[in-house]
Amino acid sequence: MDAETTLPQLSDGELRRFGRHLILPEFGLEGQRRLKAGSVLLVGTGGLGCPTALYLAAAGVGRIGLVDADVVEETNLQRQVAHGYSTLGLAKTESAAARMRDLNPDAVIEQHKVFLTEENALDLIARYDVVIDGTDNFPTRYLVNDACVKLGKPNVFGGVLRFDGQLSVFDARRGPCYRCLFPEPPPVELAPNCSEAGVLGVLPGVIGALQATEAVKLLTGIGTPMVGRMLVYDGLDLSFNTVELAKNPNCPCCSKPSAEIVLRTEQMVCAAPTVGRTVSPTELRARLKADERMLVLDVRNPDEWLGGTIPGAMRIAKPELEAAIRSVLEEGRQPEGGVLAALPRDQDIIVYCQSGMRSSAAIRSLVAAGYDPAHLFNLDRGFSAWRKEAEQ
Amino acid sequence: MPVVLMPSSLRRYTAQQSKVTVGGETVSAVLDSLVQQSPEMRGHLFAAGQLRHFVVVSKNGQDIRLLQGLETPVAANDEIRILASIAGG
Repeated sequence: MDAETTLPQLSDGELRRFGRHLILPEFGLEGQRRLKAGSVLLVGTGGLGCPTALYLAAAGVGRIGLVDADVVEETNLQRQVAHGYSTLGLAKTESAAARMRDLNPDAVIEQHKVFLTEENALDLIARYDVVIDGTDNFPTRYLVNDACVKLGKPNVFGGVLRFDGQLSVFDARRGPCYRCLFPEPPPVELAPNCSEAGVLGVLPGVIGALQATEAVKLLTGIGTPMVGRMLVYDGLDLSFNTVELAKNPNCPCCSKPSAEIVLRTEQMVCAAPTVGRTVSPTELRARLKADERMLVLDVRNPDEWLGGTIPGAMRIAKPELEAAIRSVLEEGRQPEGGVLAALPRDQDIIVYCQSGMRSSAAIRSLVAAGYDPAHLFNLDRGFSAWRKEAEQ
Repeated sequence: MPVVLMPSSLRRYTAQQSKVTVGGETVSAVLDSLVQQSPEMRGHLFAAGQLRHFVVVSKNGQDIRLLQGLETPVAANDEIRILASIAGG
């Protein structure tokens, strides 16, 4: 039996719904049947995952898997357009699946309410033809890459931050993999995520729609996939540029035989030594309840304060704090009435940001300014964890 | 002089400018001129004299590893792009 006869037939409803695909000469009935026969795994149902999920379901991909263990939060709605106020608190996979089924009741939507780990990655990815990387962190991106290389699957990569977007198709069988470009993740202080550095809400829409386009091309075999090239999008200049990428003959991943590729979760390390101690949201809550003599310091940016703060926290944005510390270090004295004057040296200071990275850097700066590390505590995983715990 | 295109994550070192004009006849020399203007950027780009593992540099749209790496010659009208890995999604 040839491939043509093994492709699934389209129902009358599908023939009507996909009419505008069927009249594309490059696509036609066979392209649509190939989409129906195809399967895609979306890792992440957030900013990038939402538009890819909606467009791939609408386009007629037969089976779509969603990997995400998060629930829908209000702060997601600025960019995660598959979710809405009516699905706040629901699993993201649940929320997205409902919208996808509304667009295409024939699609099989498989929900995997887990985070991708070194234990489950191979099993999950092996079940699909194409993988879309729409995660929001480096360790998962390396896991997706390594599992795809090991299994010989194409990985449609998208990344966004602030106004910048990146897109590529990593397929180690015919081009470079993610590790050929970036063998290791940056240290945490050089790797802000969207909750710290911000992201224009429309940006993942732009990149996610392009990821969906690449997935459709891979499944149908039309066009030229973005293998060996990276699209670099600058939303401020509205420029799209392409960079031709090199395959690394000594790549720590794709230069090895498949059997020798071992999945491991990249540990995000801090290049600078950690100073001070860590306090969990639960411990902080208990200390606040006990009315302990201490200061809680929010070093996020003023626009982040608008979304809520820990009650009673003093607010000094990290750039302002660091500028004050620099002037102390350079002039050798504390300016009268400067922000440091408000920070006591003889009691505990609990510092927090959104996820714990900037506050960790702020603590290092405070130690450089002469603060005793024994009095400095970093709120573990920051305001995100604090709020998540409050909601439970 | 060649133009260096900055990723937004490093623009705080270039007064938020996306394009910086600096001198240099090789990629290495151009990047050296760049970090001399903003020494705090050095740690983002280099470790032990090599490009860091989370940075890709291209000349006129080609990864410099396809050319002659940091020793790739640069002409006055060339565009050098710094590409930093980003993980947001």
